[in-house]
Amino acid sequence: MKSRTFIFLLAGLLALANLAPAQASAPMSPKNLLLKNGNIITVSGGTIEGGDILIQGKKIAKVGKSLPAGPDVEVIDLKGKWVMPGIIDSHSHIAVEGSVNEMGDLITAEVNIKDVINPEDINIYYALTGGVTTIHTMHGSANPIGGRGIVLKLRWGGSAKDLIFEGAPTTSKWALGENPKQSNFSGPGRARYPKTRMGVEAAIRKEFEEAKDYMRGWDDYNRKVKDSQASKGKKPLPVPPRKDLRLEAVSDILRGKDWVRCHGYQSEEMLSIMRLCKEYGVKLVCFEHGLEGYRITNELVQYGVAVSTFADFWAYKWEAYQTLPHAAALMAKRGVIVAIGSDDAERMRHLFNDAAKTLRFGGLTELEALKTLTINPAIILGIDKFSGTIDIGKDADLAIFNRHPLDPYTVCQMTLVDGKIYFDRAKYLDDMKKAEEEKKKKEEEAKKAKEKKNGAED
Amino acid sequence: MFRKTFKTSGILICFLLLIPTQAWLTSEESLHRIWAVKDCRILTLAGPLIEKGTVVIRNGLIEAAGTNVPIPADAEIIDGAKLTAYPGFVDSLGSSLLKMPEEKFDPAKVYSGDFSDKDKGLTPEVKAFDFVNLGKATIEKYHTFGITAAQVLPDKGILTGQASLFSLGNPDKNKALLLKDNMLGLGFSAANFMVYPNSLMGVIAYLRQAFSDAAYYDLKRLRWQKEKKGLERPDYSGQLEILADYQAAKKPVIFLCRNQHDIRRALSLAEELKLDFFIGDLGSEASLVIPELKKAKARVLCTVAFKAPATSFHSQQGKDARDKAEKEIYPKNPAKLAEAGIPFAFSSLGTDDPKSFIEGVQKAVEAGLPHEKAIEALAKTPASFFGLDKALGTIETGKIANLVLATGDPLAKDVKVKYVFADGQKFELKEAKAKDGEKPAVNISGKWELSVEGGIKLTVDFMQQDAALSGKMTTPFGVFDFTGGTVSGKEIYFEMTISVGGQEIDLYFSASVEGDTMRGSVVQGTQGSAEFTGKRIP
Amino acid sequence: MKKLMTFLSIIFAAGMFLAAQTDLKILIKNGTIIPTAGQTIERGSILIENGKIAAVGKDLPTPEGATIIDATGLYVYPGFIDAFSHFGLTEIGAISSTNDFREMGRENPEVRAAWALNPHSVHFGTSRINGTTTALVAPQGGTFPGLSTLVKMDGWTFPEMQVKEVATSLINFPMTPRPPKEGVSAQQEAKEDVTSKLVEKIKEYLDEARRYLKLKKLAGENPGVTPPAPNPKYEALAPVFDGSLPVIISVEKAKDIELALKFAQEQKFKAIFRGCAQGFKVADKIKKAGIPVIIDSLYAGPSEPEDGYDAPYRNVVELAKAGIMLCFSSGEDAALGKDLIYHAAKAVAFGLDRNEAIKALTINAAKIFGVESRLGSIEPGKDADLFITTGDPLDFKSDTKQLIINGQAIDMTNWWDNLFRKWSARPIK
Repeated sequence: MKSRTFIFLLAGLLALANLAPAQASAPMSPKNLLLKNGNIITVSGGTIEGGDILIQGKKIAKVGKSLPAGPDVEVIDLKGKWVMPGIIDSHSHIAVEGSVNEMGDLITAEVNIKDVINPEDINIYYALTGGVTTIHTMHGSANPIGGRGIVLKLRWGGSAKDLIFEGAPTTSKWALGENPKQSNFSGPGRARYPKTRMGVEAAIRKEFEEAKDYMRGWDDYNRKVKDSQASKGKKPLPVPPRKDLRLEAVSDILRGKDWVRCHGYQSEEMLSIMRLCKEYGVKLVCFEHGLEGYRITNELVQYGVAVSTFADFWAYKWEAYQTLPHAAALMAKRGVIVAIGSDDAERMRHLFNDAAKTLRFGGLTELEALKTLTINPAIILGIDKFSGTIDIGKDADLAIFNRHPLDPYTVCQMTLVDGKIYFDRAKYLDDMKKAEEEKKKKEEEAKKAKEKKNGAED
Repeated sequence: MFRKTFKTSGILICFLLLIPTQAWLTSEESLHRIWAVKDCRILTLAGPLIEKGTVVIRNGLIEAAGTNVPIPADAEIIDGAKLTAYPGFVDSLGSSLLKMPEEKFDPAKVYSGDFSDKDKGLTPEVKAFDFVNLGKATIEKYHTFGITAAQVLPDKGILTGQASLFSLGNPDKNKALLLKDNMLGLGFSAANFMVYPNSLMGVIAYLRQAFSDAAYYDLKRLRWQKEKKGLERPDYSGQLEILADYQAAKKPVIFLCRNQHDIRRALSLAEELKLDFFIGDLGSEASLVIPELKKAKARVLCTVAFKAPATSFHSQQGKDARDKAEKEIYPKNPAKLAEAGIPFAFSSLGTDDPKSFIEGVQKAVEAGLPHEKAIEALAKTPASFFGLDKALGTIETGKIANLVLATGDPLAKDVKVKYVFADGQKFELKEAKAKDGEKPAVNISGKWELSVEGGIKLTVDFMQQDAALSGKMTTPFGVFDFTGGTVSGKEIYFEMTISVGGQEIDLYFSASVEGDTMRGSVVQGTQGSAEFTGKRIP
Repeated sequence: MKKLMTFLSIIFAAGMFLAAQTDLKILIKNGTIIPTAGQTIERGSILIENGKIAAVGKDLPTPEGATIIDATGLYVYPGFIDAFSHFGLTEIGAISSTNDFREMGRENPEVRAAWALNPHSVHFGTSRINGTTTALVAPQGGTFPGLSTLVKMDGWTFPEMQVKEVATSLINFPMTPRPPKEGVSAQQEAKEDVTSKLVEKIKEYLDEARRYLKLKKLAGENPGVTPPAPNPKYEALAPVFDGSLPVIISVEKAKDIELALKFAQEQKFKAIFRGCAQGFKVADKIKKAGIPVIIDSLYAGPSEPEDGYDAPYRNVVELAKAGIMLCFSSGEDAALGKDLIYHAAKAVAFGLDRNEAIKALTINAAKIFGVESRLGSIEPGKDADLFITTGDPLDFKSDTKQLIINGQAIDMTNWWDNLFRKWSARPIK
């Protein structure tokens, strides 16, 4: 076996051994863990220098200084490392099996990411190396209404069901602008409606009207059934309407059940959709990207819709041109709830670097910058009861860094989800070293064997 | 309602087959219907091993098997000394016996969007029975490895088609048929085109809607048939009728699961849609889903190719990790299922021919599957899965005479099959002439269809002369000639330059050929590579 | 601190204005100077005259008519050099009419980035704000993408920006396919080695070019010899063959790097490698060949998962440890040119010595492109390309107060500033 590949094989196997194998869910046995001597950025109540966190089971039990370690408590001395709430990425597409877009139709509200979770996606592990503990993963932006997304906790090694964040509201992903009108992909294929922003909104409105009609049809049927039962058979039982799963999903949107996450760039298309959502009573929660959101902060605040955006990714297409890296800060300073998301597996690993850019571009404070990665996305995802800050009673989802998370030289050292360590850089380095040593040993042995053989042949 | 009174129409056919009728046989065949295999070792699977006994076969059935069995006067005798008799193996799910018609893909469709249901993978009306190819040479290839029955299923797409079970005793499929249209294939592979559904999540949403529509179709149709007046009659839909049939009559569907996540999806759908089902474990990961399989009382058809699925962690950690997993982890799948008591049989999907199928089973045994469990999964369990316990699976009086006479134990190495009885017909197997080690070069001249990772399909015309390979490839952008190619042993290599919108793209193909299939990778200039598989177009 | 900043901004504004007027003499006073050549100078001064650095030291006398920039509490660094970019060759990636970095076809060794570069692209203005004063602008695509150019990040026209109209040639080395995921036998790799075949094709092309040049030379000396039909592509390779023009070879995997090392040696090229994501596996070989490496954008995952999640960053550290000369590039996204420093900072975070990082951004790049007599450090006689910053230039929080290119304090406003100013002014309701 080639020596070089051997190290990595061994490291890979050792990494494998770290994983809970993807067996059917064996819940992690609750443990008591005391993290002491860290700089704890609670996000809700300031930073505690030289502070401790006591974790019981999956929850944060105590936060303070000099917490006593009882019996049966594992103690980890952080030696001054920085702890922040686990990073929440509200806009991602990882851990999905198959295509992230259902491009066969225009409005595909019935498809559900929950059906296609891939818990073995290595990007989950990579995200953990960047301090991310929770993600919202969803349909892409090819369709005006794409389908349902899902919130996942990065419990690497669990089955698809194990990853689901229980209690998170269901979401519906919409998209406006160049992507649903396919401005930027060409290639063999028939032209698909719509080709303008007008058509995008027309498609959504049309589907809403059809859904209303569908709901009326079922109400009508239910009434007729009651009539028939009351008439004791004199009035015949009606034939029910066809059950249409797509229109059922759209009806849920109209009933305000799904939290709508709408991908949009230009300020005017965002305003137009806000009008539409108000008209139909849709629960519009957040704009995705919203790179021109800085122009309509008054309207966003008044409506109460948040923005999940980039720190500085821009100019890759026309609708991403009239923007600037100060956009996130401008919106935040004017009262918009701003989250910084990745939309990309690689960017997910360094979201903390992205948040740091808002300090220079737009002048956010360190706390405001960290909020874009923690409590703000938690609010957007409807999970702020469980995550987003380091507070007693919340889930023990933590990211530990060797320097302040917004420091340019910081490296994530450890990531915990539900109080269990899913990423440990020290162990990773140790495993790599062991693999290197094993390799050297094997090389030595192979060398000796070869020399012996040569010697015997002489 | 026909389908309500009989569980499967298959049982009726089976019943008819058991009635001996001279009129169906040729005069030649009728001379050789009574056999006695004497003094052989008999593994009945219905009792202890019989060290020295006799099996009598008459008119397609086992008349007697045991010690002290008198040899009938009209029987032809086979000396069973040095031979072991055991029940014929069943390939519980395969597609290599199918010969599908050549499809010419019209590239204009891509632009018009005029895709057929076939393009979308929605073909529940495609029946294995209509396309099975049971040529004499083919059957004998199966016999060489002790296989006497096979369930054949079209396995492409989402509603893949309907299976049939055949006894490999006669090239005439009408005579060979055991069960017709007995299982409906459900696959998780989305279409490659801009057509709904073309994502995995779309496929799952589609299946839910399709079965909902099927139940609705059934409701409306029954209602109209009953009342006939006062109601608008429903449009006819062959597809929905088939789905309704399976759902209402509890005929089983077979989920073709590529990995453990598909298995969980299948279990969830089966419960939601109230379907009777089997799990086709194409990714050898059923052992990772044991608690859920137990809870659902699932029946599994295991493949033996033991390739790590693309989603698996092992596949994402590099070639060496994947190879190690394929050598050490995946072959243990059947053993783990046996240990957990999950009922399973073996499927040849993923292996190209009977030889690699049986070799795969032997690999499972080497990896820890107890020998008798392997035999059970090849003989008895399939009989029970198909509802044919009374007719197959053991050597017992009254059962169909499907059995194998070999020089040693079933699945043992270096064992040669000497005789096979299928439906009571005797097949004598000759020694293969070619010696191992002398690998003849393959000849791939002819038309092939290549499926490239990412959903691209290409048609290639190969012209091979000794080791030189030339030909042309048809793509949506035109037809291009090879600029070079070679064949060496079973490996082929060819290259070409295609022109797309003025851009010239160099492509370099290399592949390993096995029978009528190939697997390889194509490299594109400096931009990267993709894997592909190929199948000969007959 | 705020008062100091306001005060300094006023001085700067004044200084900028005056500098624009006179553009002859600038004296930067009292700053912490990191010249890259030699020790850091606390409370140091730099005298700039006629576009060049005239003097560096403590307590320099103030010449007549000089604009003074008070750098008290601030830091002065040599302008950073971005070793690979597409500035000026693209505006908006998805809109093809704004893109000029990729010509059709595989072999375009003669096309010059210099012929297409747009000096007024917004990306110059937005990318230099973190201290980049010089950049290599290169074409991409195919096997021979073309000829790169080395430019200053400011100028009214291309000729005013150019440092070297033709800086290097380029070759995209073939990439060994990632071992297949499923269904393909492991024997594939051993059999047809497609990468080698592709390299053979490149060699054949180069040999054709050599034949052409040889025949052309012979025809020039011998009236009896018919010259070959003119071929500008082969002509463009002549300086690469004689080593007078370096060639950047983009290569990623360890196996391919080894092939590329052999290739460069056989062809006798003056090679610079770019990328080398798996360089750490063959670092000693790269060092032995004396080939410098341009580190590509570190917004990347490992080349192969078994390399480890931190491979891209560890790679830089290992290459530096092996003694290989490194420089950084902001990568192929011209819109993210300012992130040059973030890539350097990431390497430092994972163990690269910070001073090495600064050298990589300055004097190393200058040496690699053969312009160290003009750029890469703050020394008398070199171009006055430098920037004044509020802190560690690799820190997100540091603000570049003033960029000086060719001895001019340039106007730092850019596309983003205009939007920021306008929309900050919308009243909050």
